[in-house]
Amino acid sequence: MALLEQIRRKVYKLGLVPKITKRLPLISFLLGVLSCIWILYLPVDGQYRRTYISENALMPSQAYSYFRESEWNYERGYRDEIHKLKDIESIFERNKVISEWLEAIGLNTAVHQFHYNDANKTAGHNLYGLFHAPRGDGTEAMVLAASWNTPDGEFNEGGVALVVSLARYFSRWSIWSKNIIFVITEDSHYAMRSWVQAYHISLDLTGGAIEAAVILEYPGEHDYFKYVEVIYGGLNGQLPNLDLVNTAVSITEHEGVKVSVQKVKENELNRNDYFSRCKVLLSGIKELAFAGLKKTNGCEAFSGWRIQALTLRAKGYGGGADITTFGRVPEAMFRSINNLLEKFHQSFFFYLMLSPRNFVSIGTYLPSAVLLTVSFGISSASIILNSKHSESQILMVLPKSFGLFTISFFISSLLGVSLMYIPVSPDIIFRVLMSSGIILSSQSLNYFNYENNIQNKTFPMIRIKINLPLTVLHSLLSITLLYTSLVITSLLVVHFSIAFLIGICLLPLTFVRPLRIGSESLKLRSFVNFLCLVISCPWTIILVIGVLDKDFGTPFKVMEGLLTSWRDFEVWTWFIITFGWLPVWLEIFSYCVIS
Amino acid sequence: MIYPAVVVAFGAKLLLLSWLNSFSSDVLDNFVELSTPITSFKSLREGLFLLNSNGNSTGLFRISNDLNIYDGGNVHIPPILLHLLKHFDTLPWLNFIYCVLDSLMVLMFININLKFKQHCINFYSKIYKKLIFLNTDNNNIYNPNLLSTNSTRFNLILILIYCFNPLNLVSLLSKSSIIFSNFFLTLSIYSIVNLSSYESLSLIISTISLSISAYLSYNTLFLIIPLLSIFGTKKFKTLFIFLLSCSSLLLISYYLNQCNLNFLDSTYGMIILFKKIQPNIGLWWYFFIEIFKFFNDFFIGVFNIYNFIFIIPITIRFSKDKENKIEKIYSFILIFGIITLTKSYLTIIDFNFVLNLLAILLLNIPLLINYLKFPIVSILIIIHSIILSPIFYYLWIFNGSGNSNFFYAINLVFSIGFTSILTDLVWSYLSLEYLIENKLDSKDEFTSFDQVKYRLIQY
Repeated sequence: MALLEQIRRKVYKLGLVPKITKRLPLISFLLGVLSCIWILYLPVDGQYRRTYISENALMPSQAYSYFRESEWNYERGYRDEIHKLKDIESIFERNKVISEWLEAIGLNTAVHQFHYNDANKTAGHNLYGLFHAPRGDGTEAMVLAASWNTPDGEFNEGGVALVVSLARYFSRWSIWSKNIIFVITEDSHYAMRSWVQAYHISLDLTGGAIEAAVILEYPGEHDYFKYVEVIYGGLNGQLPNLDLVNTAVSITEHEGVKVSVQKVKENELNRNDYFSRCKVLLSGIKELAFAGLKKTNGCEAFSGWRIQALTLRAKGYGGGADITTFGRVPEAMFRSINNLLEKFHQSFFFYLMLSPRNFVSIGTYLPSAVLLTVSFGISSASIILNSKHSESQILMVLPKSFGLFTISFFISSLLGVSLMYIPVSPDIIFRVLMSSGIILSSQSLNYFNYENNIQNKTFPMIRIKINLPLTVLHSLLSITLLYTSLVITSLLVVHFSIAFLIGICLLPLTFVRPLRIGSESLKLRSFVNFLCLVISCPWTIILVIGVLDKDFGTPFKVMEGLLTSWRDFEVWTWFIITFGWLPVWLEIFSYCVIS
Repeated sequence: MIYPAVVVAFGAKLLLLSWLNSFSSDVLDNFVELSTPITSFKSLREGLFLLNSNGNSTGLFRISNDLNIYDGGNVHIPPILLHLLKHFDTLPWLNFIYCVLDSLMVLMFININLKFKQHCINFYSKIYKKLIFLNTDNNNIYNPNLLSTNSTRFNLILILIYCFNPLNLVSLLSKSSIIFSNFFLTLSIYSIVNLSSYESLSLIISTISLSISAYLSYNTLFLIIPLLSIFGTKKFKTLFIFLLSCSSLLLISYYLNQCNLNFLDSTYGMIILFKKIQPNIGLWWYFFIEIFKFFNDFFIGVFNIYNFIFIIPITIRFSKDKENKIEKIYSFILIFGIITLTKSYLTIIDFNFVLNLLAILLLNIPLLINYLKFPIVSILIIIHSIILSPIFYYLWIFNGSGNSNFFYAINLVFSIGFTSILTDLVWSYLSLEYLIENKLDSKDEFTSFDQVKYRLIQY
């Protein structure tokens, strides 16, 4: 305490407090920059860690895998038959054939019928078969799934054939202590999700709690492939336990096949330098933030029931590995998972991959988002501290500014929720929102009013005549920034990617300053305000994402994903935008225009 | 103006309670931040059901007459309360009772605030004429003149803040049975601040209501020590009344409970021995899920000692001046804060009730605000931990990606925030006392503190 007291006296003597107070905006900005640097510094050697299997019971690839030559013939046989099914349009008919095979192997099968939320589509059918564990009590299950069509729209011939042949192969073993469920769905998007949902709610044939799920994708009829893509993202910031990912990676590499995470291209598989790691890292953050908004890979469908799921995708034609090699990966994975006596809990649930064998854990990357929250908190404090208002004045106007804040909060949440239910196409919704965003932002360019008190006619203006004292505005701004900080804090651990991205996108808003009459740089100031508002507008970000991300193509797709993802996948992203982002933007916009 | 406002608020709350019935019972009652096995509404309903089905039930679900309600191990509410509420075992009636108690508490808070303000003005202006109290700057909310001239308006704001503060609203909506205990504690404080008018009557009322409060929730039992210090010269009378009323309450309970003492174990034993280990925002639970069984008794002892160990020293420190009622009431509320902090089954509701009481102190001794060392830090800690607590619980219980450490970590942060508020209040009161005793009345000492920016360097 004596040391603290000395420091305090020193600080007082040097007059550091007022000096620091004056520079708080700069400090806040620097913290924002530091947070970006932090993320970019993670791929530097020494910052990340090499992956390791944390749960000893897993023992990946310790048992010999027998899914080899003899099984190849069965696999080929099934594949040839499935190839014939390609021409049959009706999934129901296809499932009938597969169901017969699975019944012949000795599984109980059932068909899950579901309805798309899209009125144009007919009812869908998912087929699943249950293999009862010879050694287990039937309370736990593992899922092996494939969809008829891959997210890219290809016919998942090898994947479905592998599921059937692995079903045949697994059913001859007596080692299983967990039930195995084989699922064949229409697609890996909504169909798979609805099956998982139904499994936990309404299906009659069930096999206990699902511990882990592996989704296979092997499009095309060729025998050889080049490398395996491991896809592990989940919804709402959830990830499968790192142990499962590690098991998949180590087994695949054990089979002599290269692994790619985050869709790294074949020619970059051998690279492990700063830029390749950085790319994987950033792509991981991006994919996690947009999970559920675009075509999902299947593993996302299992999010939310404590199921660890990942997708294995065979890539390339005519490589060194054949289709049974691809089959041996789920085989060895299932043997590993079968060993578990407890749920996956040993390893990390929060991590970012840098390469198949390198990762950073939450303790290492979380500070970057924490810095962002602190940055918003500091700029919130600096508004009050630098405003020359006395504490009591601020306290007096707090109810008023809270009222204003609540109003804009209600407006944006009402808007957000109603947009989800109005039957207008997302194209139109996006166009309207985008243009209104631009129009509103351009209000801040209205600096002529301050100079000459003349209404500017170049912009489609909405005249706002509200006179609020500066105290109210300052405390309003301060509350808003504090709210932003709280939003980011609350998302920090649950959904790091969204918290980080929203924090970065909102950072420009801390530079919005009121126009002062008589100030020389009025023009510049208002232009900066305009720019900040436009950059931080959610619709602008959606536009940018839509244009840049090839999975979306257009911003309309992003909008559609945002509006439908809650209904289809229980993804919160739209709510985060309407409750966390939009009110802040509206608040700062009104601050900017009124002042 | 006050009474209509309270009535309107009462109506609004009653509507809200009946409208959000399923929300209260399905959502809020499952929040560990709001409901504990001891105070949950479900437990109350269970007790009432068991009591009512004794004797008058027929047919298939007949329960024999001699079934004891505490045998099932799910009811932890004292018998007298259950027997009083027995005839109101329908949701509308219970909602009505909750709202009535809440509104009465609002009225009492307003009165406590008013009376306490008078105490403060009398006391401080006597000693210290040049204080900010006489400052006529109208923009200063610390100016008591401003407050007293607009006192109706001020009270309306108080009602508004009390009734629609999210924490208060959630406390009411979750229908925790702690409200009964809190009501009697408020009544006790109410009669303490009204002491000057009818001394012996208020002594009796405050002591008896404190004993009822202690009977209902056990932890407030320790408040008898600061109460004894408040009634200074009439210590023995107070103690006698307290013991008499406590023992008669227990005696009545004994007879109501079919001459069986097992209610002691399932009400107070449950709280003291922490028998139902369920997560809450308090400090206890984590230890008892982590430690080996043979440490159990030791930690039970340590935590229980913690619950009252600070009471006597604080009471002694805050009763230097025999004439000064303010410091005693101050210590009474502070001690209640400490008891709450170290309680076995702590909820946000308890914390919120303490905050309401502390607000009264801060509103009426506004100079204290100047001597708080880190109010902004404490407030931020509390806000963040209250927001993060359900999130971490969700990660632990529902998502499976977090674990109990996450939740307890945020509980610790919450407790740090709570502690920093309490210690800050002790510090600021003692600083104020020091300044007054040493007549440090230079003008800038008091006026310049108004701005936050000098807060860090004021000493």
